[in-house]
Amino acid sequence: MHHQEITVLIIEDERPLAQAIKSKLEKEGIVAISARSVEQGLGYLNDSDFEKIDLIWLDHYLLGDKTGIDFMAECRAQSDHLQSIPIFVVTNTGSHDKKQSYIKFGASKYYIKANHRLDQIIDDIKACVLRGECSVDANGTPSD
Amino acid sequence: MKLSDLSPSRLIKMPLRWKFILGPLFILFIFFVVVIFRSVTLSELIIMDSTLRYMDAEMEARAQDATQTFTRAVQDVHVFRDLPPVQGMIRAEAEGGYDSLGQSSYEEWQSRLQEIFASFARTHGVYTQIRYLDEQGDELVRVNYADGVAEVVQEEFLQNKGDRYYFNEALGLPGQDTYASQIDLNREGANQNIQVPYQPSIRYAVSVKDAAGAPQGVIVANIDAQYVIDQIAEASSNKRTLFVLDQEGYFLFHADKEKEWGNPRDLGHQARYHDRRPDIIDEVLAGTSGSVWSGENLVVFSPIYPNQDSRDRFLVLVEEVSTKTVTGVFESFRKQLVLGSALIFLGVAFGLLLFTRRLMVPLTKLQTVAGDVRDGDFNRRADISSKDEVGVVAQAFNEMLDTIQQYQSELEQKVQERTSEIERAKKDLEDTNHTIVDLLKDTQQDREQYRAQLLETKKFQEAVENATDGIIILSDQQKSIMYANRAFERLVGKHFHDIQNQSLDDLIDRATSDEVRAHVGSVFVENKTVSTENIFFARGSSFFQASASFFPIVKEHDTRLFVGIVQDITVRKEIDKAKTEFVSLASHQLRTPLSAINWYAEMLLSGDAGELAPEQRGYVEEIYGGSTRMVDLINALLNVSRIELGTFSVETQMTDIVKLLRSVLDETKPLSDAKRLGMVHEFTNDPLELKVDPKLLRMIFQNFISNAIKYTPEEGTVTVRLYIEDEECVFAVTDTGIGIPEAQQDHIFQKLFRADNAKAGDTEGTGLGLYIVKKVIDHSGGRTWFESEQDKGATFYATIPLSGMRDKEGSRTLDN
Repeated sequence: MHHQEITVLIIEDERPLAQAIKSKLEKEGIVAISARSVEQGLGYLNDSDFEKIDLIWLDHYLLGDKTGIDFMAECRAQSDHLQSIPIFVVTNTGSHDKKQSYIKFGASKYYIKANHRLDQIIDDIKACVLRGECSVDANGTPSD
Repeated sequence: MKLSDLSPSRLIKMPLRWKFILGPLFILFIFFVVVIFRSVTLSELIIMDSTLRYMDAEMEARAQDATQTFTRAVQDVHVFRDLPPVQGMIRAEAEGGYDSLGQSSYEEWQSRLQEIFASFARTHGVYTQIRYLDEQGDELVRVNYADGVAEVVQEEFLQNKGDRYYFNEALGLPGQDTYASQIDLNREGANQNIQVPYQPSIRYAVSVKDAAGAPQGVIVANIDAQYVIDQIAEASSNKRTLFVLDQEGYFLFHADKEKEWGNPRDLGHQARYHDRRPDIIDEVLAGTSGSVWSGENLVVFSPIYPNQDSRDRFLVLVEEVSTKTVTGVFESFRKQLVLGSALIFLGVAFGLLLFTRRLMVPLTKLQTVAGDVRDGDFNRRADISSKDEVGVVAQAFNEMLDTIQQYQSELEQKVQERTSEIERAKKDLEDTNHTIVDLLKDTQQDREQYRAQLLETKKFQEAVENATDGIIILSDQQKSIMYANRAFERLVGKHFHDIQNQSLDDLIDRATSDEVRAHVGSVFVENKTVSTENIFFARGSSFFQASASFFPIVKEHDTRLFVGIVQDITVRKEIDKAKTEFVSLASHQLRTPLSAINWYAEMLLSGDAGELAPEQRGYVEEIYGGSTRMVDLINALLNVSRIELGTFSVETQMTDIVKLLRSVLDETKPLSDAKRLGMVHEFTNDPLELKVDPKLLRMIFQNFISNAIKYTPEEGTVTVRLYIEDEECVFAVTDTGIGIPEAQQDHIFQKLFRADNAKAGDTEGTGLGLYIVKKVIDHSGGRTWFESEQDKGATFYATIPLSGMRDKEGSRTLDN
């Protein structure tokens, strides 16, 4: 189902953060593609290469008018295949409403950036992609 | 345009009376037209028919005499022939002059015959000649008659008529036949000149035969045709035009004498009927009677036969009548008819005029009365007693007026009753106002200060009336609004008297949830104060969010009243919302650079950019630590803002709190192990299900436990207890730590407060944790407190009612 090499699509508009995430992922042997806006992200997905993408790392506030929620909506509205890609929402917005929206759209996990170490998140990514432990924790909700 | 603006005359375009008159007249008119037309047409036909009949009859009468004369003539000649002298003369002639059979001589017989002829002529007067001719045509006996004198013509004057047509034609006839000649002017003398004066004649002749049957001669009698014609034309009136024609059309009689006897055998001027009426001449001379209408004339004609047995000879009697004569009668008839109809018409019109006047009287009466009523006089009644529909209407009208008057008085009575009712209610309301004295005493402790002043009811009333908060008073029944102050009026955009006696429910907008409605409604049932900030009131076509409190007051007579205090919190909510959003945004903005610092520091420490030298590691650790603390601070500040703004939510569910506590202890185990602290658990292993918000409870557990760990030096002990006491679930954490100085114990739960010994101990802390815990527990319906002695340790307690945490609606959850 997946290659040994994991590919993650990062959609994050802050350059320093995107850079940090990308380096860390690559250090862990994960291929990282980064996009800064919803359109860019969808563009990568609609490429013929999109089958390669194993997981999407999605921020909420992005370049342009569309937010991560718009991305989720458009993603889910497209082909069935896209719907099966797990999505980790990693944002600094703690709003309960936003979190509920992401969960409703089928986000696997929801992290507040400032509260988590990179290696923690990456471990979760590996657990999800390699072992299918993608979504809920013991309490039945995506963590955080 | 109202009915009352119009005068009756403007409304009436066609008065009823006119309708009654014109209607029948119109019908009558149509009737007359039809009848007249029919009768005129019919009468025309009848008149023509009767004229014809009349004329036919007249013709017949006229012809009758002539026909009679002719018939007699036919008979007479036979009589003449059969006279004995005739045979006697024949015998005498044959026997040489003496008739042995008759014992008479020829001369005797001849003389006898002459006498008979003369006598006959005198008697009848119509014969101009009577003759006996022998077979050669010699006249043997001739008697002339004229002017009343019969003259026997002597022998020397007797003529031979052998070549005359009538002689020849008569000689060969069978004995029983009679010859009748045409009518012509008699000719005499050797030259056969026309006898003057003219003597129109018809000759009747019969053949004389001897005993053996051989022709011996002819008896001829000349009829005085003029006499006959004159008879026919007798008394021809000048209205008609009478003609007698021969069968060739020549006039035998004409008003203009010059036109008579035009036949070529007579005078020859050839004036004949053809000239007059060429179109019908063939019909006229056809030998049968008939009539022709043509244009101006009616022509009636009838043949007269001299000899009934021989119809090829005839005279024609023609009468012309100008149609004008006929139609003159007819015209006068028509005129009479029209005149008569017109008279009848006028008569009927007049009659209708009179009749309808009588008819209209009651209607006019009714009209007048109606007009008076319309102008407001309900006392009038229609005085009409006619036994017809008008009478019925009038009666109904009167009864209607009776009813109206009755209703009017009833209405006035009701108005009076209502007015006194209103006045009573007004007085009651004023009484109610006075009861606010008792009300406001109880609600606000601050108002104690103003009690003296407020006992003055009037001032008090004013105060309520002018209060900045909306105040309403509701009665028990259907939550009716008994009073609303000015502020409330402004809030809902309605005057009190518009909403007076309406139910409170009518003012609550449907944006309000059913739970809130029920919650508010419960004050009326349970007599307990209720408040809510989630109620929406209608204002105009929209609504606003309000903070409202309702509480009951009891009057002396045990009637209950309820006071409501309402504030429009729209602005406050908006401000809160803005604050919340600002805080969210700010925290987001603060977190972003911190995330960068954290992750890069993390990567440095992980050696992702190369191994760090110990000093470098140290510095980076400081950086990492500092930014981590910052993150904690931001999280805590976010929670504080939610608590301060009241926007945090408490979402309870049945939770096993023992399990929750255990998971928190597992989480903090690394921390306590790092300080080699002894963790004592004093609580049951059995599950304990309570209705709590698990996230908040977790936070509370975490806070107490992490504090205990943080502020207890190494090798110390931390005891965690969970037990039930007095309807409460108690959570207590005891530590053997630095404790809290007595002077600072009052401030422990304050925001951002850290005791001096805590700060001095180089421990990290935001100073917000306990503040948050206290606020959450307070909102949940529990209590927090602590006991502590400096340097000995501290025990912190938090309780939750066994009934569970109180739910709280909020837009945010408190996060860790």
